[in-house]
Amino acid sequence: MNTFADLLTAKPPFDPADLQFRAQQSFPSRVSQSHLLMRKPCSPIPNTGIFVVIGAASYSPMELQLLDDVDAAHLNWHNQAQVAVFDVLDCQTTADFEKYLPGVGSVAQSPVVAIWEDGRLAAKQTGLRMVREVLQERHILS
Amino acid sequence: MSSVPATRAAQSGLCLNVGGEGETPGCINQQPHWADLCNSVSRTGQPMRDLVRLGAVFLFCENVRLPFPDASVDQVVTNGVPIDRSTWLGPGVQSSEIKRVLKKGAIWLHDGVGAYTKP
Repeated sequence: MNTFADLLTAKPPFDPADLQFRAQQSFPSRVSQSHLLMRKPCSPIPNTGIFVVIGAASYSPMELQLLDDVDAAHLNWHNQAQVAVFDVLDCQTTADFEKYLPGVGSVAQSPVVAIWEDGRLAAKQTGLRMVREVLQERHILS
Repeated sequence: MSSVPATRAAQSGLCLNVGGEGETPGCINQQPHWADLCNSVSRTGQPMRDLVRLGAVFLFCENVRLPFPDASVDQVVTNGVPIDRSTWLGPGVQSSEIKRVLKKGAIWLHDGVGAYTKP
């Protein structure tokens, strides 16, 4: 298993629910093999530098591909930013997002991204297209 | 996720895209009550309201009870949606419902791969 997207690779026939469950279980391990950090609930936001948090759905191939793309672009950002990620399946209520993304408010769809600059929330966005645009603007994505 | 081509079943019969956002031509796109067609953007990057304007058909109903009789659907498609698990928004897509509504011999395509054929 080399990529986030590999977590959901299957050959027919297969049980999608089982595949997704295994992807969720393997998500932290995959993060540890990448250049990304695992975002823990209630962890502090750094007071200095650029801190990016991405919440992605481990059941979505497109959102896992987003994480692969961010990881692949690490040479662009690793000197200027930290990028942490979490699985939105770890949020069972809207309020749970506050533990990962303090100050962001309600999240209507995934993925979600928030960017802090010197401890100040500078950007937030949801939905694949908008999240990609924000990350590209900040050179987190090529 | 790229656009998934409509299969023969979708072209000749009823195709249901559960949690669909118009990415599979010819399917009815089921969405749960929390979906917002006016303000949200689909996974493929199109505003949902544009998809409606272009002719995509949407059906709003709960994931736990698809409003179709048993064995009435020729193909089910699911793409990038949670199966048999709840999210912060509510219950996800239910495989039991998919298997209930599929006709005998009909296929469930998940993320573009044949996951299940109704015996």
